[in-house]
Amino acid sequence: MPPQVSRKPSRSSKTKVEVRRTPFVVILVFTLLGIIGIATGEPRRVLEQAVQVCLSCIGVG
Amino acid sequence: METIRRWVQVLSTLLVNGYWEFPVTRTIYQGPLKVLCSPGLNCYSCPAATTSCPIGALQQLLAGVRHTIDSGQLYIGLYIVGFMGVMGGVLGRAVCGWLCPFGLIQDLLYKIPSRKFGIPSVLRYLKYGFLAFFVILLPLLVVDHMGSGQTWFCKYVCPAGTLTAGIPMLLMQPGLRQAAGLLFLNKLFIMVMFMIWAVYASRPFCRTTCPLGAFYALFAKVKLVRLRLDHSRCTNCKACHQVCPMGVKFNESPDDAECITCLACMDKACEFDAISLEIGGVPVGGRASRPVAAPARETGNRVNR
Ligand code: SF4
Ligand code: SF4
Ligand code: SF4
Repeated sequence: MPPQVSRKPSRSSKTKVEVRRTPFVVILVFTLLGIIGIATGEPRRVLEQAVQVCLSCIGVG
Repeated sequence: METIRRWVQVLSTLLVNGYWEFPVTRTIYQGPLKVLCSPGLNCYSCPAATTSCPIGALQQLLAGVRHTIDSGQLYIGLYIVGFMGVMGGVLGRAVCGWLCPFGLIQDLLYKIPSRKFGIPSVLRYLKYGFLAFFVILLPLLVVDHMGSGQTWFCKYVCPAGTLTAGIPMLLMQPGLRQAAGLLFLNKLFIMVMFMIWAVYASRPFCRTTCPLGAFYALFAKVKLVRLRLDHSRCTNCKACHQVCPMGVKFNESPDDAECITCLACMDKACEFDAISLEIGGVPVGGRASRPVAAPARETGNRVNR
């Protein structure tokens, strides 16, 4: 059994909200990587590969 | 919340597997949507798949990198890594909890009534090896005389490929059956082992082997959407340990790389409102005050880790 502890006042009255910047930096960096990939034409190559049956995936080649 | 998550998983699975003409065409979807990646592990040789698998696409680009350099291009997977990184930066392994079709399959297998077992937590590190070696280094470095690498993870391991692509394609195309030899048997064996394991333990493939889960796990500390622990409220009752499908001891490790943000600990376990959801540091949800509920172990939600 968990110990019986009385409920504390609502969190909102006490917690300081601090926006974290790191996730936005990470997202931005990977967005830029993706854009570079798009600019070099990678999506076309990905599509060429993806419309063919991948024999490795199905285990015969 | 569990019901909502299940519906989101089903919807996401249907969205990335929306090609239902395959019984007639007897082949895979070949349209333009395949330029997009699915956020979760979803084999692009599955006849119903309408998107690409990021792990498969990345291996193929790395395996063929010498050919593309010869033709004056440099395709090293920036588009794929960029996509996976954005998903990881926003959701991290919430993708695993909410969007991945193979995660859903394992969740459903675990529902089959049986004795349940834990998974030794040291096995979690294996998946980083699969990501580093089978997805990146071996396809990039081990090449034949033509300069072509292999998609090692797809070829020798991936049970998602065997289940959702190998078996249906072999059923639909008799010609392929003749080519199925030892390679197929190896993959079939791995798939069957994981399917059986998933009945007895929660998400064994996700926890030990999946390179995509390993990649998303790298974002555990920096992802936008994450759970937060209010230490001042936590009584160390460990109720959150009991419900976690990934074996996370949430109050001891709130940024654990295994957390798939399924919200079970917040929603079903914590009596003390110590766990909340935040986006970029801003709290967006937590269980509002509710009458004192029965402890988690009495609600039938306990999970064996
Ligand atoms: S670990 Fe891999 S298979 Fe499991 S849910 Fe995540 S992406 Fe899907
Ligand atoms: S720590 Fe909580 S949210 Fe994360 S996987 Fe475990 S139960 Fe789900
Ligand atoms: S369930 Fe809540 S109070 Fe109990 S250990 Fe986990 S976070 Fe702390």
